[in-house]
Amino acid sequence: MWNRPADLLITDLDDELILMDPDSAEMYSLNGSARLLWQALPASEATLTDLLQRTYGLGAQQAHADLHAWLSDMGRRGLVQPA
Amino acid sequence: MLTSLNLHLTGDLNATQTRLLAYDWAFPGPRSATRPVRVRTGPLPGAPDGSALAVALPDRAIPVQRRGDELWLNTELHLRLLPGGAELTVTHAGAARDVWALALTELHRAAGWLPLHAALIGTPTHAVLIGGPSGAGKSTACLRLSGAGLTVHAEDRAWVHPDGDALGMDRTLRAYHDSLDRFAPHLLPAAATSPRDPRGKIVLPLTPQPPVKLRGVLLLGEPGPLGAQERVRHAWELTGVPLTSSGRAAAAHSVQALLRAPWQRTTREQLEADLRALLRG
Repeated sequence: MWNRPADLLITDLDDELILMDPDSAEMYSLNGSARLLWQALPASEATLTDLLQRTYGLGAQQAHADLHAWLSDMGRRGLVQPA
Repeated sequence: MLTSLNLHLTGDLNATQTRLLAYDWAFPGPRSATRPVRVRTGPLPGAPDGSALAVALPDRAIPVQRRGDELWLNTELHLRLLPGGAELTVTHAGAARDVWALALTELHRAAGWLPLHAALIGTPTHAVLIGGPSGAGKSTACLRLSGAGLTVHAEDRAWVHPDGDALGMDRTLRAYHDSLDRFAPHLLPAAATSPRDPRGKIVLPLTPQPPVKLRGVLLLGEPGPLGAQERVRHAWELTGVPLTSSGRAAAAHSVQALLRAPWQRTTREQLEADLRALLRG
């Protein structure tokens, strides 16, 4: 299960989602699949994989690989965390 | 006890604390106050285990413990947000003015009003926020624009609501004598009888104004374009970091609404013209 860190400041600009870390003042812009996945949180890996498959018509293996790459990248930046 | 924007505070606070709150926070909003805040004097509820967050206030930092929609502020005050309202508990010794300010700011934030470290200047019915880093010239702008016949609603304590309403909560305007002499000589007669703060600035009375409609945001500093991400950063820097879950959610909504207003950079030289253009719509 994955979740959003509670302290992030979130701003929805319609075409992009801006996340701001209040401690470092670093900002991140999410659009496309990143925005879709982040807005689905909290969710399990199975739910997120299924979301990628249904939205983008991916095969299970590809969706699983893409999700893991995304979780790894977002986790390293402190933008997602295990629930 | 008192009404502050859309909050209605009641309870058993002593007279000294009530006077302090009334001076800083008794500003009616554009609509009736529908969110009850029950204030109780007594021991604070037990705080959660764990380290406290150091929250910077204008003159010091205080420890704050957090749990969801509850805050323990410097062992002086406890705040609990409830659906549609809130509860405050203050110790028998009372809470300091800056601790009350932190609590009331979070209450208003969770109720939809966004606090902004910005000047609010315009006409009796419409106004523009003027933000910028410390030293950018907001206080001088207040003097100059007051001298130019515009209404100063706030020097630094501005509030905006997603509905487009805005209000100032400053009761004073602070300026050095030479600034008054140069930018607002019409205020010199009042300055002659006004007190001075510890830095030697003259503390002039600022008459609270009714709520107005917001026309836009001007950022004092260097000229140039202002991208979407920069507007987001400035909006959060002007309002500060919320401390509760509900405060964060409501502030995110209010920031998004504020970003729909016109934003632009300006300079000291261009400020009055840009402000008047925004006021004209």
